[in-house]
Amino acid sequence: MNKTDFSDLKAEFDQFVREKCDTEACDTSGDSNPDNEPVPGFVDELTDKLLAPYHSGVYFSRLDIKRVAEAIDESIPIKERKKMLQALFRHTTRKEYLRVAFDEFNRHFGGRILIYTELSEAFPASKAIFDANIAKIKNTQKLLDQIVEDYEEIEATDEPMMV
Amino acid sequence: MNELTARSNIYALLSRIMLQELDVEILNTLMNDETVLEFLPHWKEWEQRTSVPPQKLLEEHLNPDFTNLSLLHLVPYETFYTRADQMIETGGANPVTDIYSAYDFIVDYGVARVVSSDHIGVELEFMHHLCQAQIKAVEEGDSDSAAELQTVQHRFLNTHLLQWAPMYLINMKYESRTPLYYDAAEMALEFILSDNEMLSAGA
Repeated sequence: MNKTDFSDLKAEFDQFVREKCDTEACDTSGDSNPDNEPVPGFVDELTDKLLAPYHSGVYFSRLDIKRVAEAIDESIPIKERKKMLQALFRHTTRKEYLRVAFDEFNRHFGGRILIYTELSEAFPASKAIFDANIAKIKNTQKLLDQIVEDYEEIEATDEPMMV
Repeated sequence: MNELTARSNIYALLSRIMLQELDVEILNTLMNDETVLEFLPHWKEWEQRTSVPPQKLLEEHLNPDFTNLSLLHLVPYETFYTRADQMIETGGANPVTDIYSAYDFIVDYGVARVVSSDHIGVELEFMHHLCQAQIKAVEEGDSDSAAELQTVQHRFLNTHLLQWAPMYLINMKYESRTPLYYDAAEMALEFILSDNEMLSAGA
């Protein structure tokens, strides 16, 4: 591709932007952005505790969250981790959905506990560090159980203003 | 002394791999040095290591993988893992700043291309720096300084690197797309843990 081709491409792109965006048709700052839609009350606490390695003892990457979503037949785009979790739980109405989703997170936690335990046994001088991480994982798992327990299901017939 | 030199060299190698994209010079070392290849078994056996031209290997395989693992999907900074708010401390309040200053270790952010001094590549380089200082002390017959520097290495490992790097390296291993970074993650994890065993036994 030569310089002229790039100039043509840029001119074409600028034209496209002028035509499509000058009308604000592609404005994503308004309420039409699904990322700005409200989420259930538990999601904020969940994202704080689950995503921070300081609290959870593991790092959930974007790909990890994507895998959890796929395991429960949900399709979410890869973006900022917090937004991915919000997308996963935004339309939660059933306790069973939460249980199944958290089971997948627990499977991930279980894998990490196994790795930490193996490393502790192989390298006992670092055991205290891995034990601390395992304790954090178990606390986070308790939090997940608590969220499921406290969750109140929403019926389709419920009065929206009362939810 | 041989063991100390070997530790110093391994910290330097791991620091280089973790800090930035590779260039042809370091790639040549990783491709041809038999000692290095012994540490990286999957990389050693990877057919494309020898069949793909080095520049293409860098541009189409290794450096995109590095970018995914260090910039896009994972976070190689200590404070991200050790702060409740997951923020990277980019200022003087970073917990590694004091110990770096105490041992004359200065981070050149422009050269390192990191946003904070607690990047895994920088922390590994600091361990290399301490090992080099210990080598110098041993050569000069200063056994007190040599012992102190070993104690500092042990302390730095336990108060910094080991507190968070295993979390990053475990993710790095499972999210890598090339055998080089898979092996490098495993090598780094096992090396810092086994180094802690050795340093703890001598403490």
